[in-house]
Amino acid sequence: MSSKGSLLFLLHAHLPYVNHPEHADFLEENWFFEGVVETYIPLISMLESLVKDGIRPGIAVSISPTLGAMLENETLEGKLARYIKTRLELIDKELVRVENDPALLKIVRLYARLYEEAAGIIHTYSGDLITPLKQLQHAGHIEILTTSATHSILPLLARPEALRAQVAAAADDYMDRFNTKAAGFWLPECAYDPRLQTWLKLSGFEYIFTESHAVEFSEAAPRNGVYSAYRTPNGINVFARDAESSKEVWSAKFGYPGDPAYREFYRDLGYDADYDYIKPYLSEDGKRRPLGLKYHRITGDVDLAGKLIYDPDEAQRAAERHAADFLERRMRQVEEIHSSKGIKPVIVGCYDAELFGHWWFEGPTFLECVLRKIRQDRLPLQFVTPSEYLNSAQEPPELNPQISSWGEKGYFDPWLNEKNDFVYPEVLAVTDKMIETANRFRNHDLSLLAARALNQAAREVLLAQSSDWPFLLYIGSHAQYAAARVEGHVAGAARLLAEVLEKKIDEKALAGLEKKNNIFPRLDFRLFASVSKF
Amino acid sequence: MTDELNLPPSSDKAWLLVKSPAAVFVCWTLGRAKTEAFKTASYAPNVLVRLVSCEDKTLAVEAEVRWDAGKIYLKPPAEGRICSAAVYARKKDGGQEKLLESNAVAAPVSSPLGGVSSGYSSAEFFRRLG
Repeated sequence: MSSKGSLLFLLHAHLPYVNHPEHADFLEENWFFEGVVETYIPLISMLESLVKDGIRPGIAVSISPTLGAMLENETLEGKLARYIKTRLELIDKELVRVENDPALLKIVRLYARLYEEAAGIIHTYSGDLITPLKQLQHAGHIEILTTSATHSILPLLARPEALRAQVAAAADDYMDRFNTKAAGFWLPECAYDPRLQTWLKLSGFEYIFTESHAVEFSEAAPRNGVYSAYRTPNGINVFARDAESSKEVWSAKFGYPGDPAYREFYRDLGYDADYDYIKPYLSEDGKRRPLGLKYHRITGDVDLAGKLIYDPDEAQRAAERHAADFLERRMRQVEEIHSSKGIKPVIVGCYDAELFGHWWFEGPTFLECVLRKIRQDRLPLQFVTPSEYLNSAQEPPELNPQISSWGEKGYFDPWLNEKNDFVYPEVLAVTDKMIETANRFRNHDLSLLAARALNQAAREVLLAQSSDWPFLLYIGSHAQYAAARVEGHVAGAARLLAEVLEKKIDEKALAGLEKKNNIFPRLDFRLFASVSKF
Repeated sequence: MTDELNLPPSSDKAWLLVKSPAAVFVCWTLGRAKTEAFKTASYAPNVLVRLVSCEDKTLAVEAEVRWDAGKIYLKPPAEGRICSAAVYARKKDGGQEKLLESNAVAAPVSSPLGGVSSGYSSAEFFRRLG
């Protein structure tokens, strides 16, 4: 059946770079382990299952360079294997503990399947989860994008050299990881300002995604609203997020993930179980923490103690119902746009990948149901990847998007406010020092040690610029860790730059930093040099 | 290479960042010499921070704040216009000395939605019960 419109789904997968080889057990590394088990592997498994059944997913996935580096990190791989092994041990104990409770037994068996699947897929790909994604892209089933090097809010970088470094390092990283040039660039948090156009173009990117009001409130009112692509004056294609379809999936309050049948995220065995029983699975400090085994459903507007026991079958039915509802709404939306604007619209839905599986446990099931139902019911909708759409659509109309983000209030408030603004003078100052030092040494014949020090300083500066640190400070979650990370990267970069200038490089300390913050192995500090000075 | 590039990186810096159509953020760091000048009362303790439209050099906003606050939020000039910030010290003789000048930014155009974003998943989920 010919389609009346297209759906363009983008899942943005990102975690901040957290790698502490100096510790056997480190709390914040759990973000990565949870992401792998609850989101990345279920999504890979779901995509492979669709392909096996002859259904082409046709979605876009952006993988941040920091997440990509963690997926390739052998130390983290070893820790991940241990994480899964200990969870499976706990699950075995739980299977015995709840054997006479059929409702709980059903849930524990669900977790047994989840962790066994994780172990199986890791084994299949010898621990390298980039491989299945690469294969899916190579076969044309999905399209993989990148984002800025360390997920920096680009409009909050004052100097153009810093923008260039974040964009160019990401382009190089993608080439190294996926053996091909990236066409698409996910703007972290959809944060856009017009200065970006130049650097995106120079690094060879072809398209970006913005929040809807970046397009809707541009100077020339766009005739097609957010339902077609546009092109900036220098030739970068722009897709704008559709607010309607986003809200249904995004919102915990108004959207599907808040359904009473779905799994409750915040109630966890790590807090519920007898302390002595659970102690071997807690961190070294012995503090209770989430263990990923959650046995309750959202239930409704009740406190955590009042949550009812989760029923996987009922949750599955809810996910199927929501998938059908989502597609019905898109069909109506497409019909309305088609009749009012006379176009075949593209509905752009962008979501954090970690929403699917980690936060919204049933998210991968929902997504799979959506993708299967379009095919099974022969609906007049089709999933397209960004490049497919651009190759088949007419020349996009020209438009200059407005400064914006998809953050709270639509601009940069979550990343720049009274709770986190103390990081900016430090980060901006060390960035300026990096630029000045790169300009100074860019044409020097440097010793290997000095070049290593400058390259590591560049890594530290990029890591200091991550959006995650101000965001965690803003929401008050892991705030101490976030502040320490900014301080550590700033201090590390400043010390290295000073050591190079003074010709007194502490090689042992440098090697320590290279081991810990071993991202962007091919990074050249000259990426920070002013372009006009070449 | 110019002489400027042979100098060690300076600590006297000011930056201007866009927060929203309603606010821009000015922050600064001062090197040893200027810090000393404030500490020894060569300068008055408050600095003047001025936001100037880059197109016609008109003063958009002026505010006073202690020198060691290192930051201030200001209301930007008309939406869409490019502006930059400058930090001035008051000298003993009553005169003013321009200490720092920031980068330039374009003030964003506010969305007619009244600043209501259509959603931000991570924050929403973090806040649901946490």
